[in-house]
Amino acid sequence: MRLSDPYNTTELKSRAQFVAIGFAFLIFLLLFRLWYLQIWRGEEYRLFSDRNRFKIERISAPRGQILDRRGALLADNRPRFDIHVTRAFATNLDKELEALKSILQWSDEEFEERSRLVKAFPLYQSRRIARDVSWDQLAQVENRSNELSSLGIQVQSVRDYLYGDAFFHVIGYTGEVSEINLQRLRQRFPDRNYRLGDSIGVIGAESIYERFLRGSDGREFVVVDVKGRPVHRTNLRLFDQNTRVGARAGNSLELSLDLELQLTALRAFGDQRGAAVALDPNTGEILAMISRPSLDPNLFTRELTGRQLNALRERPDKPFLDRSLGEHYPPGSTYKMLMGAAALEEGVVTAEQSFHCPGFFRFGRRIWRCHRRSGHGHVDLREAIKVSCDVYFYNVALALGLDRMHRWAKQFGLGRRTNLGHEIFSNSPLAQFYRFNSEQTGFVPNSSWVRRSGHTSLEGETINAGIGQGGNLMTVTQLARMTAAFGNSGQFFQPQLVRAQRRPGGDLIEAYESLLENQVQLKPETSALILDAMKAVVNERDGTALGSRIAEFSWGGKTGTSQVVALSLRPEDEDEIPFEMEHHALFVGLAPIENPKIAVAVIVEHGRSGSRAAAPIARAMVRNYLNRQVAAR
Amino acid sequence: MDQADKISQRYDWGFLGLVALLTGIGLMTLYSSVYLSEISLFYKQLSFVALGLVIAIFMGLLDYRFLERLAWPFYFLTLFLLLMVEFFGRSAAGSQRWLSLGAINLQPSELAKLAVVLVLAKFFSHKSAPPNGYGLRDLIPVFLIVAVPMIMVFMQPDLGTAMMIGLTAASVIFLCHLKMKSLVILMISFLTAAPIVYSVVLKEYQRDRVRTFLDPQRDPLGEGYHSIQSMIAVGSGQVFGKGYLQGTQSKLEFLPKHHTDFIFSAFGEEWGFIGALVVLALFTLMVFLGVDIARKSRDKFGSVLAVGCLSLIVWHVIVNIGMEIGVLPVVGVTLPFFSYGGSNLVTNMLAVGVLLSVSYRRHIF
Repeated sequence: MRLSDPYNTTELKSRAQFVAIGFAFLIFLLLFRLWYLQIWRGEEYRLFSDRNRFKIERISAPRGQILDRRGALLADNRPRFDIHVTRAFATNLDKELEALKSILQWSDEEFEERSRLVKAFPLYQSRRIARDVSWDQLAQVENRSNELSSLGIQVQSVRDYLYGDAFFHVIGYTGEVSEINLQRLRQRFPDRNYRLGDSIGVIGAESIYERFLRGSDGREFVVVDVKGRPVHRTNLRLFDQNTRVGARAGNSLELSLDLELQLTALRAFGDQRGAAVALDPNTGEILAMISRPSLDPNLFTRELTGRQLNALRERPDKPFLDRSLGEHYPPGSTYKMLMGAAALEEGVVTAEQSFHCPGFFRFGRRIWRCHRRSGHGHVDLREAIKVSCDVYFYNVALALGLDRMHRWAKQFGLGRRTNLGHEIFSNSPLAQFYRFNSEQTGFVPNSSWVRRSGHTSLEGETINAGIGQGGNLMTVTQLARMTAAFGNSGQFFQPQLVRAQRRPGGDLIEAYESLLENQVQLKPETSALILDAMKAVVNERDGTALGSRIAEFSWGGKTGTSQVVALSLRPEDEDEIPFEMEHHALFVGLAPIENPKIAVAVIVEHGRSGSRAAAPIARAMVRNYLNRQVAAR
Repeated sequence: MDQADKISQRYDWGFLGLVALLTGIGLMTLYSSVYLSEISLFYKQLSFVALGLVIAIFMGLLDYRFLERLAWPFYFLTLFLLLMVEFFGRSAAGSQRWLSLGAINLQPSELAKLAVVLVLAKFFSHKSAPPNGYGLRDLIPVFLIVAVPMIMVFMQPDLGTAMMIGLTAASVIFLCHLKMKSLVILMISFLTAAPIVYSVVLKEYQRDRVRTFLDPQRDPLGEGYHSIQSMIAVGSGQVFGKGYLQGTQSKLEFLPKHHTDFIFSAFGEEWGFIGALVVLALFTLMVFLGVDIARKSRDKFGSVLAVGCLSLIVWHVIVNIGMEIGVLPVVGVTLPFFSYGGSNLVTNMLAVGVLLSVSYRRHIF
């Protein structure tokens, strides 16, 4: 091949001409097509664009149903009718809005605000102006649809919670996807096709199982005329065919909750604040989960203004807070069962060994009081749990030392999240980002923490921690899990809320089995002694919860009272103590004690006394549950 | 004559003016498309245009022959960037096209188009064609040069850009004299390869688009939707259009992507056949001015480079408008100087700059 002269361009010149002609020819072809579209058939297209507009209408998919362990429906769906306004379709927008005002009986200011919002919206985009209108109002709008041409009705499938506020925290509620969240949701879950106004689970099961519960929306191609009325025949083949793609409902979930137990607990709670959790010790299934006060989740699918929502958020009794998981408390004397078991296992005391309780305990220059000023005299471990003697456990705590106490508490799952709802992640790293209702970890002090914090002495903290005070913080669910383990010779099951996931038709997709997460090594004697002592608490003279005895069943438990503020900060006179400074009342229980089927933990905020406020609630739950078990057999 | 006068006399103001005019019409159309919904895009585009024009003018003042030395390094840099996209790219709408470089998001597939043109120009300028044209064997290195970036872009997947690289390369090869026999063989092998590519290489969504192109009414809700809406928008413009800012089909909900891939339908709706005629005439003028620049170039490198850059722009115009008026499948190719987007505007302005530079240098040596 000969080397070319890079400056000899003659051979290119003629071919460049061909390139120009080729391109010009192609552009001419485009022009010809444009002539065909815009001139030859232009009138047809203009007519179509003037008379008809077509759009894709979404068909809202129902969420999966939520059922209790016996198949009772807890959360269903209902159609909700919303009214939308498209400005471009109006003949006289102001008149139409006035008409709507009289139908929906808006106040003047409400009307002003809504009209302003509508008028700020793009001409051709429809905007929701009223949510959840009644059948009656709907009929009025429909009747006058000829004059109200800017108004459209949209049906949306929304949640219907059958038991009002009973399951507010554990099942949660649904909200609407807002503009603020939309971007984030789309990025995180591109496959779920979130759109503005979609229902989305906000807390509880609705939120953590969103992926199962969410259905997929259907769509339909609708041709509408200038006034937004659907056109059924367009004489264009493509628009007259059926283009509907149906909506697909989400999967239904069968939860481990027991409807009757939950309702019983609610009745027993009355209007006190607090939380209760019931577990099946043999499987870890959550039978009931209550947090009070709560709200009616149906509120959030109805018309709810930002002002109303803020008022709820700012209520001083914090109805949105899940007190069963999202809040932690000092465990108080319910901690003593654990201390007793640890002391026996570590060999620092024997079952027969007793300490003298004169009503106070002196260490160094400080004095710790027993809750009974006159003292309990000589008490051994069983007696100490029964009467909840503080002095006995001050001694035990010092003998154990803070770090051994810490180790035992951790073994029993205290200060460790239950990770409720995580069974669905099956070890995916995603799990760490999800906390069921902002579950708290709790806290168990150890010596290095005392050294770092520096505001107590090691011995002081140890003595306080021995009766569940000091730095100790636990969630009610953790206490229930600890109690369940005592009833199950140290076996720890992962607390679990969902039993099965089914397709809308009922076909099983997955059944979730119980998961043994840990086995605490306990001597059989230790277990037996603790259970026996718990039984004594409820059944024997001087037991702290004798009032909550159940004649038909043998059951056991442990009361607790945890300080909200230091005793020295409270007024001397009992009658003058303000509500917020009253002690929290706690109770943990197991029934039947020989072969436990249910473990409960109850806290009543500012309930003053575990035996009087918390134990009766636990008793009511246990009775209801066991009675039905017997009846079923 | 002093230096500044010389520059201003020799500078190709005509071509630059034509580009500025098209860019102006483009901005006007973009404003109409987004003023109701996302006006911020218009202001962003305004700054892209300013940047682009500066790049084009500055590039026009440089001696394009330095590009000859840069051709291979630039080509390999582009390949490297394409590889990076594969691993670290940001994805949008299901395909990985973007590379984040601090504040700037770069689309290496845009650079790949220029890189291929540069390397081909260098290749052909150093070799004289055999008297009866290039045979297939002579072109093997050319095929490799084109195929590697093309396949990488295709895998992103970005069918449109891959097609653009192929078409531009084909124009350059045609310019450089192909044997008649090779041309026929190429045509035949293309025709046999097409069905194989369709069934084996294309992704399902791409196959969908091709099927929809052959029968747009097959899936009016999905892929056909764009095509039909776009045709209604253009068609309803009739002879004189609905008037500026008066388009209804292209506003908001009816026509998707009305500020990027489907901006010409918005223009056609508001300005009608007359407007479309003017814009197509301007692009035709650009073809002739561009080819004229190539013909007057003093060296082969400049000549091939000019035709390459020109066909890069013009193929975009033809394929984009073709898909908007329903004669080509919807492949996601933007309309130069009209569509919203920084990366492709800068690429087009670089190409314009090269053409200006070739034009300017014809007076110098």
